[in-house]
Amino acid sequence: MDQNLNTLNDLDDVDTSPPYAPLAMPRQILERDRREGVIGALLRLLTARNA
Amino acid sequence: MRDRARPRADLRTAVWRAAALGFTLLSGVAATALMAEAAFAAGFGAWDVVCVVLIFFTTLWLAWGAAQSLVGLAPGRRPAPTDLPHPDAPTVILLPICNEDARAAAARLAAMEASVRAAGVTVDFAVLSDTRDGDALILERQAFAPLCAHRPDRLRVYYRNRTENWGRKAGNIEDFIRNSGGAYEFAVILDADSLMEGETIGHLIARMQAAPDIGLLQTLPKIIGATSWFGRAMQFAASFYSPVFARGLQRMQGPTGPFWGHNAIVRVKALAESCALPELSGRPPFGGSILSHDYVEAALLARAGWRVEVDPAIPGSFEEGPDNLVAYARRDRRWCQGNLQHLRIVGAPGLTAWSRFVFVQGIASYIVPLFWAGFLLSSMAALVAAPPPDYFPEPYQLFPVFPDRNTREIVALAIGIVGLLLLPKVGILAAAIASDRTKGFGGAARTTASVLAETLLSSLIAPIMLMYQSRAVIEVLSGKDGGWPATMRGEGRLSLSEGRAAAGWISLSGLAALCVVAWLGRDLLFWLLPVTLPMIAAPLLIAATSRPAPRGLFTAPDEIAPSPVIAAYRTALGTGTAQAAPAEKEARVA
Repeated sequence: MDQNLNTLNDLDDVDTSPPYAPLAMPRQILERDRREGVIGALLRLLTARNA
Repeated sequence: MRDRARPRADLRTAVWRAAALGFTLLSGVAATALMAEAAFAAGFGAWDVVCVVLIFFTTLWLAWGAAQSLVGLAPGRRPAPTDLPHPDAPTVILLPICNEDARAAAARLAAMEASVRAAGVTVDFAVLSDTRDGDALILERQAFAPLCAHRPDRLRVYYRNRTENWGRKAGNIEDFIRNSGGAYEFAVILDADSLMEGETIGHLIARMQAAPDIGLLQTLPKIIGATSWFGRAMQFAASFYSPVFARGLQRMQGPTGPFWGHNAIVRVKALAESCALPELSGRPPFGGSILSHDYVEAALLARAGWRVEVDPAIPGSFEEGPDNLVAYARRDRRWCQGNLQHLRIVGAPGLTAWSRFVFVQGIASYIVPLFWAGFLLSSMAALVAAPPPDYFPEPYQLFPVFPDRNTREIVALAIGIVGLLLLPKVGILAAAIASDRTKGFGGAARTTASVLAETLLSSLIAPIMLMYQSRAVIEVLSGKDGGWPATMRGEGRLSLSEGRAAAGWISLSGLAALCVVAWLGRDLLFWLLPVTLPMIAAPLLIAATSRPAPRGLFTAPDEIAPSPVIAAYRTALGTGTAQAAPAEKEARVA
């Protein structure tokens, strides 16, 4: 996540960095555990409303 | 974990969905019945089974497109929201770029900055660069430097360049949200070729302020700046047909709407809590970074309980498109891989049923061309495998009975399929003439001519795109990663030799198909000419459609009366400096 600003004369004299105001972003889960198998996946899909 | 109830479709949305799905299924069943009847009459063989199955799925797809346009054409539009608050929430306009034409991107930003200021809205702009090429980076920094200078009479423009480009565009935005998202309530996400009126940006902010349950509001960007036959036909189609299709989509998707990756406003909190995309296990094309991230982000927002809406009636939202068929096919290859990658995501836990359906729809959009190709090949195989004609099926028969391929059913099927293809265009044209919408397209006569020309052009291009898409699907399914080539906008005119290099294999395939069919029998030859002739002429068509088109044809409203931000952008680009947006000049004079 390194976001060094490359140093070139044209932008050197100006602070162009966006404000530092961090916000948490929890990584989302999109893949099911392969160990649960096809039947497990189907059951979870059918009961997805409660997932 | 999700602590909000997922958005539920209301009764009206459910009725639209049921009507569209019903029409689609009915069309699919009718086409299948006609095909089966015709095949039975000639002796039902194994290849006929394949043909019948394939015609079912291909007709479903055509009918679904027609249904979407019919739903969009239905009367009873939702009124535009009134009594909106003043747009004053902290908002950032994000401009992710990667090896783009920096001069043009900076000119667009300058035009938008002036337009937003003129609309009395205060926002920040952030240029999020993923550019890695050294020379391009120098040009980019030079182009954006004047805009980043602190000036009390200007809006703030930030610029940062990532040295590690993890996650591509979605990762670029995520990186910004992680580091600076806490400073903003909303983010307007743009593409390098996006343009938006300041009034539009203010309207989007106000809409989000007024509806705290909306996570994302998508506009329908109109294509601008096209000059070639291909580009202008696309531009016309996007202006003339797309609003109707998008209204159909709006009615059917309800609160589980689409995200097209740009020209949309998002609630930063919603994006942060629900849209940090994981890397998929395994290697590309199915593993690794998620390519078509926008569809996934829309589904994840809905999963987290946020409404995702599209409003095609919002004006002042623009983008540019590819100017020739080769550039279009290159972009399509990337989208194909991205959509097929959704096979891995369609079963993700907790998604709404409609989100899953949208994924299936996106996958089908690339699989169906393969089905069409399969149907054509199966038809040829069925002809070869057909039993020899029996002229005297009954004993002691005096007169011969000539074989009947049930021409009537086949013709009915062909009319039905062509009808499904033309129905949206004819319906939209008729509605536009009735409502005088054609005025913006140069009047009823000129609009009709444009629709006819666009229909002819898209019919000629369709077999070529069928070949490109079939190749793309086969490549992805066989594990070939197409990467993420930058979209080349305005790369313009192609020579015949460039057309031959890009589509020589399509010409040869078309010629081979024609020879095989001619050798098999003349019955099928006539039916396959509309497919094989454009294939043979593919290099010529590619080169010819990349040439400039006359301005009288494919006229779009933004050519007759260009939006101020478009005019400002062209002026800024023409002067070669991003500082010289006209609105700013006027402000200085005043």
